[in-house]
Amino acid sequence: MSASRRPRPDDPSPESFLPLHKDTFHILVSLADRDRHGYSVMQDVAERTSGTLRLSPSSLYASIRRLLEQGLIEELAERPDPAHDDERRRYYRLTGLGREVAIAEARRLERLLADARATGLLPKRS
Amino acid sequence: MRRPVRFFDALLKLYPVDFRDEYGREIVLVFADRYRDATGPLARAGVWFEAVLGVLRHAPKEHVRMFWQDVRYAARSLRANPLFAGMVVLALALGIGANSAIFSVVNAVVLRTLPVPDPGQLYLVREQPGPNQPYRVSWPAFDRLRLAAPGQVAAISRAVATLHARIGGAAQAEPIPAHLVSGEFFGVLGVSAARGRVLTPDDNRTPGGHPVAVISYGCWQRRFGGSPEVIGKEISLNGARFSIVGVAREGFPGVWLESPTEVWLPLAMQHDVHYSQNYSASNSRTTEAWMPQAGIEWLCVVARAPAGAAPMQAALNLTYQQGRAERAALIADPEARRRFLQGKVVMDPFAHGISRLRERFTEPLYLLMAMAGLVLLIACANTANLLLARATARQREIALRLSLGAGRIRLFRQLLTEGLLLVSIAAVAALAIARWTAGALVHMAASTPRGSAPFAAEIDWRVLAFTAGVALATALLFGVAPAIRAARVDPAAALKAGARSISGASGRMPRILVAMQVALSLVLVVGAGLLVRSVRNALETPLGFDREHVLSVAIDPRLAGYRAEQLPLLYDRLLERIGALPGVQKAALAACGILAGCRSAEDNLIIEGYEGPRGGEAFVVNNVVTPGYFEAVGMRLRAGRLLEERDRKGALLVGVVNEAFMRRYAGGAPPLGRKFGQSAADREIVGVVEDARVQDVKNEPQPMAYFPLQQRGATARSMEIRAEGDPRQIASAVRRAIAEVEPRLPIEGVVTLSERVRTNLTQDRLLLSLFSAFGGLALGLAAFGLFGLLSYTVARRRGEFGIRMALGEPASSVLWSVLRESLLLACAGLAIGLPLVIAGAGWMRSVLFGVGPRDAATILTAAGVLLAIAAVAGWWPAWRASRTDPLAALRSE
Repeated sequence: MSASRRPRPDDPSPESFLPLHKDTFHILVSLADRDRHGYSVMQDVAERTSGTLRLSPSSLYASIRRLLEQGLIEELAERPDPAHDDERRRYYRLTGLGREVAIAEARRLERLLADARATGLLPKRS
Repeated sequence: MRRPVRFFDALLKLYPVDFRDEYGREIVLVFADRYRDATGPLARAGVWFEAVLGVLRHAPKEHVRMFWQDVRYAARSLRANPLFAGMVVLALALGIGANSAIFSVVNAVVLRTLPVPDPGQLYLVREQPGPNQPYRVSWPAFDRLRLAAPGQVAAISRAVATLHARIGGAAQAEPIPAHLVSGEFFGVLGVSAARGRVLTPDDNRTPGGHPVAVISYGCWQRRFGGSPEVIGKEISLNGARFSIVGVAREGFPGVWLESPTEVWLPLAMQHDVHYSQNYSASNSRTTEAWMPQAGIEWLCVVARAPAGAAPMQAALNLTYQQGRAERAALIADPEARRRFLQGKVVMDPFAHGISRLRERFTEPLYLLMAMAGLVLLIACANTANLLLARATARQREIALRLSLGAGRIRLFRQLLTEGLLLVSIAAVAALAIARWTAGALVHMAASTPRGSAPFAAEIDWRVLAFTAGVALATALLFGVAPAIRAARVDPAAALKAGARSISGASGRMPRILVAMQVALSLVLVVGAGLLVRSVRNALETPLGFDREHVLSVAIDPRLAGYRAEQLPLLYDRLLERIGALPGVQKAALAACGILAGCRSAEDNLIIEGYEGPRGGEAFVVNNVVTPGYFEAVGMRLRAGRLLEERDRKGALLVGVVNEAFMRRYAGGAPPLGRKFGQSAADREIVGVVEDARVQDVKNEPQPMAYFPLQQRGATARSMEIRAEGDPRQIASAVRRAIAEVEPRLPIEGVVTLSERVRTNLTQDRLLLSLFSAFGGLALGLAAFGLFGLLSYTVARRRGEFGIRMALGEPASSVLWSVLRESLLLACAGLAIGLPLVIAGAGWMRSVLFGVGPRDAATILTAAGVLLAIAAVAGWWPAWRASRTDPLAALRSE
């Protein structure tokens, strides 16, 4: 599994994390626009993929644990909206490195897509 | 909804504690949300199913991840302390390696079964009452017996013989191990042919009529290069020509562990290859073909009983007892007849084949296993102490981690992983040690030269499993206590106490462990000491012959092409030529060499004036010798006269007996003039010689009779030559002289009697070397344990010594106080060890000679050695303590 690869601590270049596991990428994307708690991430991913990628609670937290360890996300000390929220929930945020890694992965996928179009595998964009 | 959530929550117990503590609540919350949001029972079931599957998939992964994280952490922490890691690995590798090495020999000698299908169905037939030996039968007796279970019993000669083989007209004969077997042998064992065919009952009908041989796969590869044209090739064995009819399948080395067979021959060919080993004869002509003779018992019976031993044993006994009934009619005494008729045959498991090594070494091997176990215990105690000291030194680190929120279970796991990592490295090293030493042990046990092991003590799955098991037990034994102790640290107290707080190592545990090491070392050192005395006793015991000046030459005149009637001339020429060599005092010939593993006995003796129980109980070991034999080997005359030149063919038949004969059959008085014999008392006793341990150095001499070679048609297989000085110096001259007299006469070995004595004591010397090695190792470890503990204590009490010296206490007093601690610990160890020595003494009894297992002198010496070691181990720390600079010590406080 590519995401479990451990980049060397003295070399935290975003490229050293690539390619990302699809679960990981989706979680990072989901945290790109706002901070979320676990269930919110899960819902967002399911929505964006029209239900094709459904993370189980276990796989979600296995990924979260790894992302925390790698420094790609961080846990928030305070809840963004304490008034309308269960106080037991933890919120996560993309770190600077996490954002760079997500961008790098998106670019990689973009290039792959361009290649597929250039060779006629996919129809060219009109 | 509550129930599914509760169940899911319980399922999370499958995760490692740390993960559960960190994310468990969150996961349950997310699950509860999803479950709540799912519409309809089907969707809920889907959510539930998905969540459970997710746990089952991810929990094991988390465990593995955690384990590797622990391993990485442990490796890092060990790398930071290479000296500590190196010492622990070395101690454990030696401890586990000793166990694995001994176990791999036990595995090869005791546990491994014959490489045949269903070895558990094989049995060896034994007679009861009787010696604990396989039933030795004649061919006619076997011929009757096999009718009871056709195709399921086979006969084999009692020994694997070394024959002189010439292959493809080669000029030089090579020794080749051959086994004589009945036609049923391969069928009963279930061994097929890789080429050609195996032997069948049709190959074993007429004495001398079946010159066919089956060779082993190894023999085929080595001696015939694996050529497919081997079938039909001729091979000459002890001068007789055989045609190779088959190659046994790969990996079948025969049924004799230490004598892997290269060629199998029909029993009917016994006379043609001059086989004459391990037999007993009565009323028979041993120089003629044995097969038709009912008086020569030379075969063992092997059976395959797929339906279990009981029915076949019953069938065999029916036939056996019919034969007994006929013979019983000849016994006059009703009591003796009744006892004779009570005899029966029983079936002993034969799954492991035959091995003299196993008979002799099983008990010593288990003794050695126990000793190796002690060495490992000492290594464990040592390691536990090192880990305890380390855990104490790491208290601050551990306290810091605990206060930062690390779980105690996690910490415990990490410390245990460290132990496991150490043990794993040690176990790999131990296997290397075992591989190397097990081979050497087999060489020593089988008394073969290096590089020609009769069988391999391989590292197979059993040895691997054993090593892994021992390693795991070791890790738990030495790792758990320090890990528990370390994880129990009170963070607040430890942090508050600061760098000076190295409490704990001064506790009772390390001292108990060191005393235990001393105690276990005492057991091993006493064992080694007893064996040293035992071997010295055996080497110095009066043997009844002169071991210092005699050269023994093994010859085989039957292979020189002489007919029986021509042999006396050859003997005369040999004796005359050798006797004239410079440096030779006396030369004589004998059928059996001294301590040469040759034994010939007669039973059912009739002895004039002896009224003991009849029915096979009066027996005598015999030897056939030329006049001058007793002078040559240095046996002294006790009464009457020795054999002389006048005891020739046609003269009065005479014999000389030994003192054991005199004691058992003549009430202790010289039975001169009395006659004895087998069918009739036809030989007159003319002399009594001193008892000599000619069969075994450690066994009491048995009743023996010596007969003149001129009167009995035996073949002389040994020449005993008495030298004026060192017998080794005449060895090459003797070889040359024999070759001059008869170039065709094969010389099978030239050794001195003192070498024979040493070979005879192989088992004792092997045990001695191993016990010494284990004892030395134990001493080293115990010394190291003491040294480590005291150095540590001295470092910790530096301030105290500083104050004491500042207050005017002399350095010698400080030195003595530390040294006294070392000696007290050793004394405590000795006090624990002494009862162990006394309790374990029974185990040693069977391997000792001339010394009791509770020999006080040995125990005292061993205790003295341990005290001396304790003094040496304590000296350096004590000296360091006495050199403490009070000012520097107090400043650092």
